[in-house]
Amino acid sequence: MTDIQNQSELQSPNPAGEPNADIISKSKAFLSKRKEALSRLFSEIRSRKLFKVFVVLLGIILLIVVGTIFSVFRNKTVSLPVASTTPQSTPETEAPEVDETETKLKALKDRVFGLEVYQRRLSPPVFDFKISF
Amino acid sequence: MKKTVPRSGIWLRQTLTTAFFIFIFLSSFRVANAQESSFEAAYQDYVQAQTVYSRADLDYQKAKSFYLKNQTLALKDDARNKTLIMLRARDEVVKTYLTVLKSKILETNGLNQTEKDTVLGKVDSELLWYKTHGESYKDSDSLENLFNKSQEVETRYKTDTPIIFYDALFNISFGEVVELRLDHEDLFTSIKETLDKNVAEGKLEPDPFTRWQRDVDSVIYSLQVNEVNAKKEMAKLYAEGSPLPSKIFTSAVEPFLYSTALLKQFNSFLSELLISINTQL
Repeated sequence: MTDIQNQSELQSPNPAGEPNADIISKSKAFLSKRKEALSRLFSEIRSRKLFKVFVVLLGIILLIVVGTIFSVFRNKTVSLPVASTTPQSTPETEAPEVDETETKLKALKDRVFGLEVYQRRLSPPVFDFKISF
Repeated sequence: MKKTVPRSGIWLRQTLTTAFFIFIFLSSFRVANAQESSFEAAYQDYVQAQTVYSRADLDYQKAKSFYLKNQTLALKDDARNKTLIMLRARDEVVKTYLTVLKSKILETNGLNQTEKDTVLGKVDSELLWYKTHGESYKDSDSLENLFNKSQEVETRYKTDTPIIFYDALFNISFGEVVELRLDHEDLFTSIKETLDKNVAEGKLEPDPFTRWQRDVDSVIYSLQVNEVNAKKEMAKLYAEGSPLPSKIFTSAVEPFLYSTALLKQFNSFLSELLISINTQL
């Protein structure tokens, strides 16, 4: 046998295709093992205490989501449009601390406008003392 | 043999557990709301007491009218019973009203501790009087006894009680005005700090800000003068031969109308200062 014949034997594919079949069979075995493990896990979830844990966890997650939604709605305040005669600065030029001071100032303005010095809501109760008969 | 629980049973249990947790969770919000303001809770109690009194007063009026038309022993006893219920409800209205004033004073931040303690001491002693008087009603009291006890309340309500009421109301208004001034002053200090920092760094010129600050200072001074004037006027409440407490209260809080205008000016000055700093930076 010549060197050329040896080289061609090494380079030519296996007529029976044995290496490919080996890979396919190995991956099939691997997949079937995974499938088996997953189906085992699901059957455990369905049948054992793990199911209860799963439901309780789901309940807790649900509570957290409901709580978050509630807190978002509770903190949401409706701000009415306020007519202003002074020019407002653009957001690009505002420093964060200035922005915070502006918010505080607006809140104070609302409180000043809501001031009722005569405290009419807290007027003393009035009674008719003529009760004898 | 292993006992098996039906799947529907498990689901029911899980659903009920989850519903229970949700109920506890939502209830916690209601509890938090109730704790938010003791003043609002006290105010609701006062409104409730007023409703109860109105009904009791109506029943008393009807029973009195029936008795006066037909003076039988049974109708007299019914009228006596309705009078007793009405008088107890009336005392309760005064007690809940005093509690409203007390909780409002506690929540007013513009009053210092000494001012709060002084007015709260007076409210508490008045509250004690009505509490003690409320306990003096007996189920067996005759109509004449009830009329006498009502007379005691009437005298108290027309002499000592209004002084306490209007003193507390004045302090509430005073505290609110002072609180707003102090809150504005805090913001003014913070704006001044920003201004000084930027002037020192050469980012801003001191002019016109120095002059503007002086204008703001004069507003603060006017507010303080107003507060002193209002207090002087209110001091007449305890002077001998003074007019009605309600009239003194009205004239004492009048300077606060000017204070409100000054506070609006204070607010707009600060806003203008802030915008000017912002646009020049």
